[in-house]
Amino acid sequence: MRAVVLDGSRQGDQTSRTAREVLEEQLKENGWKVRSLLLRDMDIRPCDGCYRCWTEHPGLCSGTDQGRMIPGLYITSDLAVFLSPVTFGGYSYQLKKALDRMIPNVLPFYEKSDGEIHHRKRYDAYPKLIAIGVLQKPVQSVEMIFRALVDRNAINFYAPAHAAGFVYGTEDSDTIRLGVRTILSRVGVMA
Amino acid sequence: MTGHLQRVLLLIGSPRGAQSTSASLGSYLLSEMEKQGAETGVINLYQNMKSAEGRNDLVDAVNQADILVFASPLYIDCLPAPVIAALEMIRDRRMVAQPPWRQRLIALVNSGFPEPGQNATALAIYRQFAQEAEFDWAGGLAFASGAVINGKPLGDVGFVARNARKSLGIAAEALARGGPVPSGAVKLADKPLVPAWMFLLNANRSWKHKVKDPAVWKEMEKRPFRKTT
Repeated sequence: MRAVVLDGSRQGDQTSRTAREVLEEQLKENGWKVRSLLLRDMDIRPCDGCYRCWTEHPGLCSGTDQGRMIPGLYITSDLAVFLSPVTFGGYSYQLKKALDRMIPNVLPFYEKSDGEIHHRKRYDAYPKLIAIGVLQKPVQSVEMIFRALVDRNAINFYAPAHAAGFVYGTEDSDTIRLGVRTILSRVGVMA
Repeated sequence: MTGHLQRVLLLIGSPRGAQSTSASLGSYLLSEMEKQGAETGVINLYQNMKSAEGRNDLVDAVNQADILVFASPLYIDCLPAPVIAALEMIRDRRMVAQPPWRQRLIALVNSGFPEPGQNATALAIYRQFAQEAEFDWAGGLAFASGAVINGKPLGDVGFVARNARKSLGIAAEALARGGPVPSGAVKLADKPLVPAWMFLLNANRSWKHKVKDPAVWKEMEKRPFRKTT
């Protein structure tokens, strides 16, 4: 089983670093192959909205930077983990620049599903999705936005299971470990 | 009017810049505000965020405005990455220094989906940004089926954009009086531009025109990646 971790943390963010290390450790202990991408160190340019991934070479981004590999890494995984400082309730720029490059994984065509219109699937199977938001301390209002965003992503990325959770700058590594374990167990990836 | 000439800054957060539906909606609001006596300006966030000079110009423009109008498409259920980068930077710089007067912020979000509710998270993020960066939140408008507008001037779109025009007109009047975006403007923006069945029919057909190469059309549902063990 393969997991891809998209780490959208900022330089010097120790809480995110601890969360990623704990996450990698727990997944590996449970037999997962883990590939972590430290997005701030990668050459990933913003999606330019050209739609050539739909109109010229279906399913493939036309970019020449490292962002073009994101859709493939995502879709060939069984679990995707978004790790990000909670930024106005959403994701950081570093994570979002990677996520914006994922539209090749769906079709341009639309269909109605559960009363809403969405892009149709390109693939039969999509990975489970976990999002871990990093905050200095609990803030209910932004956590609500973050959870709603992850729910929306799970719908549009066709995740068969998903969960969102938080780690806090005030927590020690044992507490972060417990938090990460709890999030992983919610999508059934722990033994 | 609130006693002085209002300076309104439109911040376009689309890679298509002036050719985008975000620009269509934002420019229409600006033109309505000009009728109310406002002085207006436009910033292209994608362009300005590319250089240190552009980022400084952006912050200078923000610091001179009374009302900020963010207009962006929905990307992956929230704001496009460069818009988030701009919000992070503006918030961080405002923690160091900001104008002594209260500045207001309105957000316009448009998506390719016909349900305006799909834009709710993006509007919530703008609202949270306003709070953290110490702007007064004046409200948000969500517009669906952006492809119907497709970057054309809103006045040229015709009957289907009538509710969008009315909504922005009502919002402009309220903002000029110093008030928030009224619920009437929100409700008008929320009305689908076209019925869902028509949207599905036209949106799915439209791709046939956008794909120039018949060989590509045959491979539209190609799966270039597969799992290996």
